[in-house]
Order: sequence, then C-alpha cells, then structure tokens
Amino acid sequence: MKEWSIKLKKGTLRLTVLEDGTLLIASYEGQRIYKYELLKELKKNGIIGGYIDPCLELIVAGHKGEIPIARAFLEDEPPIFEYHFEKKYSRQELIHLLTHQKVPDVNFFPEVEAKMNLLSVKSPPHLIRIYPEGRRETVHEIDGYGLQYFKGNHVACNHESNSIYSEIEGTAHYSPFGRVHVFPPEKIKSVGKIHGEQNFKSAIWIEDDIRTGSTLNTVSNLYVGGLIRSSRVSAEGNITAAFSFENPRRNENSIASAGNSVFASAIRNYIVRSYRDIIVRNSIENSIIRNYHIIYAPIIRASEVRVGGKLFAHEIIDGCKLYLGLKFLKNSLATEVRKTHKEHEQGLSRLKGELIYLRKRLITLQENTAKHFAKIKGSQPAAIHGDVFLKKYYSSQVNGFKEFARKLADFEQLYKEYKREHYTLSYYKQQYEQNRPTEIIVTGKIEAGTTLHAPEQTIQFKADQSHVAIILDDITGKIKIEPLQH
Amino acid sequence: MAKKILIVEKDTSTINSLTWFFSSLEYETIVTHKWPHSIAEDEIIAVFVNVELPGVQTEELLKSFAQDDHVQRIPLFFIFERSYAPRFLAAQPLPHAAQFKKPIRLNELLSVLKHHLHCEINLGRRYTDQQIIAEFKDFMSNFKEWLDKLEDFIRVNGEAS
Repeated sequence: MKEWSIKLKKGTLRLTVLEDGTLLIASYEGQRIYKYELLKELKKNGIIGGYIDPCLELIVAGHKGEIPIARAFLEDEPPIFEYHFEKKYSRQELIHLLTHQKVPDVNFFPEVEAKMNLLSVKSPPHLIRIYPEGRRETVHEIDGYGLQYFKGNHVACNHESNSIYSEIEGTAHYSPFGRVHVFPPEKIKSVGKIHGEQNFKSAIWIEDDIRTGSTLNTVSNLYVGGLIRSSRVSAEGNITAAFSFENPRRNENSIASAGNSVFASAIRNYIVRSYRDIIVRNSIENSIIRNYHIIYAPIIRASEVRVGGKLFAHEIIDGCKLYLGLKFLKNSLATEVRKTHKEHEQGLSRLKGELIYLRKRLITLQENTAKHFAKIKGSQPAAIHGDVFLKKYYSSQVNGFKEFARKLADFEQLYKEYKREHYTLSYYKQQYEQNRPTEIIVTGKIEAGTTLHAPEQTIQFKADQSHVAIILDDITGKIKIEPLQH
Repeated sequence: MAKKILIVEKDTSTINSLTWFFSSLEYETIVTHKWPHSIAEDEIIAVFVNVELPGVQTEELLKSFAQDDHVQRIPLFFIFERSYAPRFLAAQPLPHAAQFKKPIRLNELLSVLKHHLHCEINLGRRYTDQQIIAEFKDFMSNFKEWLDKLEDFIRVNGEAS
C-alpha cells in the first residue's frame, strides 16, 4: 500500500494505491474542484488511465470520505501485422530523406498477383492488463481473435491462419480498421463534370486528369496520371496524383479523402484528409490537411495542418497554422462505429434481460406443470389426454420455448457483430490513438508567424526557428520544442 | 451472476464509498435503510449494517440470523459513527465479523474482506456474454428434453384412450 497527499490550490487530495497499483483510492478535502482540474492533477501525478468516471464526478460534487477513482483494466491488444505490399520508413529514414532533398519511394497503387502473400502476423493478439499509472502486463494470448476480422474483398487466409493472400490479380489496400482488400483495376482516359458522380467498385487508373467539377468515389485505390483539378475525390484505399492537386479558383468542394494514403507532387488550395500517410514531393500551399499518421512535405506554405501523428517538413512558412493532437481531428469513421457498438451493447443487454425473463417464465410453467401432474396422477388416460390445463401448459411452453430460441438466435447474431466491432475498434485504437507521440520535425526553418495549437497551449513564433522537433506531451497537453537530433 | 453484498445504511457518502468500492471488486450491492425481514437473494455473501440506524432492531436482526441456515453463513459487519452511541453499545456483544467506524477506510475494509470472503480484485470477467450464450443453450437443450417427454406423455395417454 502506498499513500500520499497532493496539496492543491483549493484543497488536499489524498491518494492510496492498493494491491500493487490495481486500485486507487482518493479522498478530497477543500473547496469545490472541477473535473478537469482533478484529472490534470492525477495526470501530473502519474495516474494516466483507468479512471472510474462516476467516482470522479462524486468528488467534484463534494463527496466526503474515500472512494475508488481508478483501477486496472483488461484490454485486447490486437495482432501486429506486416503488410507486404507497402514500404515503411522509420523516423530517422524520413529525416535523412528530407535533409537530402529526396522523396520516399512509395507506391500507393501496389499491383499484386493472385496467391501473393499480402499480410503476415508479426505478433499474435494478447489480453493485457493496464494499470492506472500506465504499466502494461500481458495476461495471455487471445484465441478467436483471428484474421477473419481483417479479411476484406478478394483475399483469403492461409491454413495456419497467420497470413492473408490475394485471390485475384489487382491492387491492394487496407482500411483504417485493418481490413485488407484487393480489387481489379479499371483504366479510364480522364474524368470530367460531364460524367456526373462516379462510384466505382474497382480500383481506378486514370491516364490523364480529373477535370474541374468532377465527383469520383472508389472502394479501392485511385491513380491519376495527370492533375486532380477542383474536384471531390474519395478512395477507401490510396490516392496518387502523379502531378498535383490544383484548385486555382478555390472551389470549396475541392476535397480529397483517402482511407489510407495520398501521394502528390504538390497540393494547392485543396482540402486533403487521410488516415495513413500524405507524401508530397514539393509543397503543400494554401491547403487544409488532416492526417492521423505521417505527413511528409519539403515545403508547407500558408496552410492549416492538423497533425494526429508526425509531420516532416523542411520549411514551414507564410503563417501556417499547425494543430497537434487527436483532439483537433474529427473522426467520423471511428465515431460511427463506436456509436453502433454502443447501440449493440445496449441491444445485447436488452435481449439478455428478455431471455432471463423468458427463462424464468418457462421454469415457472414447468413447475406448475409438475404440480398439475401430481393432481391428475392416477386419472384415466382419456382424462389425462383431454385435460385442458395440461394442454394449455404444454402449448404455452412450446410457444415460450420458440420465443426463447428466436431471441437467443438474435442475441448470438448481435454478439457476433458486437465482437467484430470490438476487434476492429481495438485495431483502430492501437494504430491511430495509442502510444504515438505527436510531433513536427523541421529540418530547415519554421518561420516567425507560424501558430502552433496544442490541447492546452497555443504558441505563435516570434522569430524563425530551425532544426527543431516540436513534440506534444500527451499528459499535459502542452508543447515541447527541442533541437533536432540527427 | 455477480455476488451481492447487502448494505443497510442511510448516509449517502458511506453508501457511495461502499457501492463503488464493491463494484470495483466486481460485486453487486443491494442498499436498504432498514433491516429486511427476509433475505430473498441467494447470492448475498456479506451484510454491512449501520447499527445506529433506528430502523435496525439488533435483536430482530439476530433472530433472522438464528432462524435461517443460509443467513448464518453470511458474515455480518457493523458500521457505526459514535462508539458511545447506545445502539452501537447494545449491538457490540452480538456476534459479528468486524466493525467499521465512519468514515470507513477502504484499505482496512479490503484487508478484512480478503480475510472473510477470500476475495481479490477481479478485473472484470470478460466475454461473459459468451458464457451466457452457453448457459442459455444448456437451458434450451434441457428444456427441449422436458418438452419432448411432455409431448410423449400426452401422446401415449391419447393412444391408450
């Protein structure tokens, strides 16, 4: 047992750690404290998770005496995959490329052959125990959290269930929830407003441009050999613009969104959203960028960039606004799944209640039938056969049983969906929300006038800075600026 | 089904402390402000009672213990606020597992619970829905067997008549 007191401006918070950090007890004495102040103090004191929210609310409401406020919890750690159709770069490699004015050699329209191994499991899924102070312990490997949850279109699992291979020839991508898909490519000369809204169920390879005013959606990857001009494009996989995204008339509908990555020579006056990487050969100018993973752009000029992962740039100039942290990224995809997941959880609880009630009713009917048996025991067979009560009991039980079986089937079906959502959400959390220090790496200069927004701090540079790493401290929500280590 | 702890108490702070503490140990709680004449819940594993409450007749409480085999096995814990309170002094000689002065120190409570209930901090039973499905399926197969027998019984008697 460990006990300590924290002197706050408005009072004293006493903390007791029980059972090797599994349970944290608190009591507060003093003037009214707000929840954000309480959380800030807890985080400052190394209690970073496992909060029992209603108890924190009770302290805020003036609870007297001790109350548990955080405890260790169990969580599924999804498998770690190696995708064989993408090239990964480390932080150091990207800094090296940026310093030497080179561009990562990426292919966001990867062609795969039938039977090609697309994904292998590097580490199997585990059940882990997470303590309020952040310590993680592996409890055991999880059975049944298999690759079936990550199998998309035109792919299959191998017999050992440790890899996914392609069933057809095509181009591969994976979704933000880790599902791997392969789609055959379709070649098109160019796309224009005249074609209307185009929704493709295949990967798209456009030889020339996407012309102004077009709308194009694809379930797979999109490759554009020319320019993407003032159009709305979305791909569940990657988007490659061999030249650039251009929007000279600043048309508001010029939005590109990718479930995975984006590559372009330049992005100008565009809104670009991507879950994975945005790799730009030359510059991002007057644009709005939202990204959860890696942004690589030698020059960023007069743009708003929301960074959920890492931003690598050589120069950041002309009054850019940079937002660090997931707080500034609205995520409709995960939000939607989380909402459905919550609804399914409520549905499961409702069905469970109904099943318990039905079971109770069936047991009562069974008991009543047994009592009735005792009454009619020794009667003539004809009397038993014609007994109205016995028939009534029998038919009520048959109907009740059918209802029970139907509800149980619904419960099982809903549980399957609930589990699938649970696993995809854990993958999403691991990939995009956990253990990922958010930072901006500048190998050249970041100009005076650039504004940095962090959850708990806003800074505007008064003078140029060069060779810096700007790191977001997840616990305090503030920014640290350090010289860049090569 | 979660094991249940009965709390006979009126003071909101103590109720909140205890219910949330037990809930973090994965126990459910039933809260009442007077001594219930009969304990219907089979899963109750411990009783915490504020012996200073006017609604609690310690003698009756003891009678309940003496009358019911099930209840006799349940450890009874006294809660009190003033060690000189007549009701507490009257209850003192009666058999009980332990007593706690308010405000209750939860670390002391945990060590007493560990001794009497052999409990440990359970981090939540996982995938209980999977277990519940198995439980319901078991029930279904047993009930189907019973229904088949009932059907046979009605049919045989029909044929005999």
